[in-house]
Amino acid sequence: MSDETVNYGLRARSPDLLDTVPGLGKLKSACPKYIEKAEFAQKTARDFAKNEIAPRVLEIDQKCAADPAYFDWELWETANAAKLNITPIPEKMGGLGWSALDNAMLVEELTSACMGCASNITFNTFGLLGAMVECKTDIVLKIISQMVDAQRRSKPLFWSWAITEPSAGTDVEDEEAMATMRPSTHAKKIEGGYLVNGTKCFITNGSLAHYVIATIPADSAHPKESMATFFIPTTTKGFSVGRIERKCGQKASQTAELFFKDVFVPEENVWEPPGKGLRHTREILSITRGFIGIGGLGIARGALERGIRYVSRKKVKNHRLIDEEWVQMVIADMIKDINTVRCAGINFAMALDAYHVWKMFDSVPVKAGLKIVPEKILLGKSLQALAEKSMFSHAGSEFKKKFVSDEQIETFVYYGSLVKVAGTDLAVNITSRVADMVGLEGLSDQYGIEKSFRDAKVTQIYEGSNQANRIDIVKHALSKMGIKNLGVPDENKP
Amino acid sequence: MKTNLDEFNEIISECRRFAKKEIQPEALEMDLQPKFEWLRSVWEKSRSLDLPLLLIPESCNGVGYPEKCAALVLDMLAMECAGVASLFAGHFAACTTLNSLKKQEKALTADILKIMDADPLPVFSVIFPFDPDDSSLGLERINGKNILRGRSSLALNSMHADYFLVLIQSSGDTDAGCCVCLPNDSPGVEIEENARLPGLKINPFAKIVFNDVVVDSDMIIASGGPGEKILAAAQKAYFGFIAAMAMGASRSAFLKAMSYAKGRYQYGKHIIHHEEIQRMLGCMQMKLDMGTAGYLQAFNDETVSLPALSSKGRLAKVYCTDAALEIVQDAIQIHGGYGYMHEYGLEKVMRDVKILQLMGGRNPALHIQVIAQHPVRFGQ
Ligand SMILES: Cc1cc2nc3c(=O)[nH]c(=O)nc-3n(C[C@H](O)[C@H](O)[C@H](O)COP(=O)(O)OP(=O)(O)OC[C@H]3O[C@@H](n4cnc5c(N)ncnc54)[C@H](O)[C@@H]3O)c2cc1C
Repeated sequence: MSDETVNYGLRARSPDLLDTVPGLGKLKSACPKYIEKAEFAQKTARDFAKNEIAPRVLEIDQKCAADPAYFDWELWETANAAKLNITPIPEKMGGLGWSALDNAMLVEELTSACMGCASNITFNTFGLLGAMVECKTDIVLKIISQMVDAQRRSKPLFWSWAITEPSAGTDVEDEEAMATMRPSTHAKKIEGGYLVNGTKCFITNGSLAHYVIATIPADSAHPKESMATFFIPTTTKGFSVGRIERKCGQKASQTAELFFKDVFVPEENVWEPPGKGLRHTREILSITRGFIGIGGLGIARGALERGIRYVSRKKVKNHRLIDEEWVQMVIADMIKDINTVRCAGINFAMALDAYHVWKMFDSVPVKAGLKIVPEKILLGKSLQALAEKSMFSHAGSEFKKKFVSDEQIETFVYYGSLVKVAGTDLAVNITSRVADMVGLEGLSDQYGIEKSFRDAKVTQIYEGSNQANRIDIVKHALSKMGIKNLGVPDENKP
Repeated sequence: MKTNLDEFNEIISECRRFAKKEIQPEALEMDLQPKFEWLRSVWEKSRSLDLPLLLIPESCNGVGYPEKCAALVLDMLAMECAGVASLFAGHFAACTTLNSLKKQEKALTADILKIMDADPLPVFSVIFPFDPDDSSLGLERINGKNILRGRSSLALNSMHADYFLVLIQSSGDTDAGCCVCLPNDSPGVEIEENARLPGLKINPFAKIVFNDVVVDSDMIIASGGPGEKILAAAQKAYFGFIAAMAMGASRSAFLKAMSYAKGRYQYGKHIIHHEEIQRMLGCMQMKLDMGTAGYLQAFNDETVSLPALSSKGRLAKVYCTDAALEIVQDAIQIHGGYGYMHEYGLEKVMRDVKILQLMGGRNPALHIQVIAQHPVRFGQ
């Protein structure tokens, strides 16, 4: 049986968005362009995943197993040429102008082929997301023009988001936890900026990054009150990269330790002043957690696709493994779980379009501006110079505040955590069940199923452990129900 | 021979010491760069504890301990490396196979058991008819010769075994079940490529092809009725051994998680003080206790006669391996990002356990077999 005959996952008729989430048909009749664009994004991403990623994932995985510093530049170049690393940037400015829904399509398709490779392509939007938090006009314009310029010249431009430290993972993502955090980094105020010292760990793309966005406290005794966000070019004196981790899976994506030794950060690179660093982190999490959930969904779908292909070919005595009823029941259950989480993921992405930063792209002033102002000027020096003037620089921040309030951020952390936990638990569960279904032989590395199994586990850990995500879910949900001040007094504990 | 509790405990602590000393320092490196000589040297060193001879009857210069004792040994070895333990498990399963022969056939077995006492100590592998491919194994009599042909399913100890004990299941009335012992260098025996599975890397799996291998009659250890019985006994022990390894591997993951949780400070306290971590650890402890009790029970010859109680080794295997994977995945979770890194040793345990889960057949299919193969139990 040839691969093409299993019409599922990357080999499904494309696009099949409306087949898998038929309720979108109603939306399509009201906003045809929105759904058609998502269908286009799905097809583009699926073709890329099928033709560019899938054929080489196993080889990349093996090379990275031998050398964690190996990076597949050829794949990156192909993705860069297709602009898949700058999808959210408006078309007029050189990007693809993809909505959050379009990006959800991208993430599901790419991660179904390989989560590590998908990270290499999509995690670069951390730069843009980071800048969009404060949304100073000049910074956003600068970041966008750098990203677009690098894309055009096919020059790598990597961003890392560094919040985790050896002593603090959960503690850097949660208000209550941060109050008790024991930091491994410190930023000392000096004239004209800050002097940063310490270590960050487990930083995706840390070893490739040109820029690092790092949260670091200015007062180690009061991390919550003094947490700040810094923008640090990795060429800065005193910055260095430590070990590139040897991981269980997602090997194509590099995870590194970062050292800061008297790294000077000038005032203009302080993206959030002391006290506002956690807010910055929470806003990024309010977007990224949901996408990690969608990544988990992709891993699960990819594993199921490989599993179905295997069991429909594997002969047992005089029948195919897929002819056995228990196998069919397992597959039914997995399809059910995958489809349920997909609906949740799509709902989350559409909510980002409706109520989060993506809504800005849809607003009249932004749309009109993009329509009227010629492309050259949009990315040109004169607009940049104008934007640097205080009045205009803050205009972006003020404008954004109208769309995204602090309360909304917390609501989206909640929405995102729901999808994150559901999608990543799905990834671990499904990859393991697919392995159980295909059996020992099916776990040979040539089928990629064992890779899905190895890739899945970490999704329950990063972007906040699933326990930390559950804490966010329950705090938010119960407070909406009017139940607050949770916690058993220590003396009543068993 | 009768073995009392003290003796069992002594074996446990000696094996634990041995595993810590001989296996632990190299286990992680051997997962990255497996060196077969290293495993062989552990095998040779284990002679100091008589491990290779553990299940061989005293009458044949062995130790003559019961299978339960072998399971405990595997549990202890697997705490440091399930891959190393699996070498012994394959060997122990072969010894069980030989021990399960009927009394009158003991003389023949003794010859083979003598091979086991050679120098250097040979490794045995049992080839089970678990996952028969399109071309499963068959023994035929052609022109007065016994000809073994076909291709095995993925076999444990494939790269290390000096002898293969091939168990052939009867299919209909054509050939009855039988058991054949073959040196690995017999003409026509071909070991295929390493199947490249993600776990137990020091002891890779491969298929063994038998290209019209001529089998001496005295190497056919049993056939017909006894062959089926051997198969059943060997499978039962093998399942129990897999269960024991799974518990050993997850036991070490549990202990690591306990100690990490005591030392890791997060969210205002050492994480062992968070109720959710306590719940996870409690649940892991439960699975460990129940799994251990389950595999030990599977080796008990005598048991109370409660209604609907089965002492099937295969159910112990299913329960223990499923539970072990859950324990290890929770241990990784408790370690946060560190748990996913090779140097912490837990992700290796997860990969190893995943293989244990799949050895001897797919767990959901084994659930089915337990009922379907015993029609008496549901009145047909
Ligand atoms: C491959 C990989 C890539 C990563 N990429 C990045 C990156 O790009 N940037 C970045 O900043 N970080 C990154 N991380 C770090 C990741 O976000 C952290 O590992 C994660 O937040 C968990 O933190 P930790 O590892 O310190 O675990 P800890 O916070 O120490 O948690 C340990 C355990 O305690 C549990 N726990 C903690 N508090 C509680 C509580 N109150 N109740 C119950 N349980 C609790 C946790 O759930 C976990 O099980 C990455 C990690 C990995 C493995």
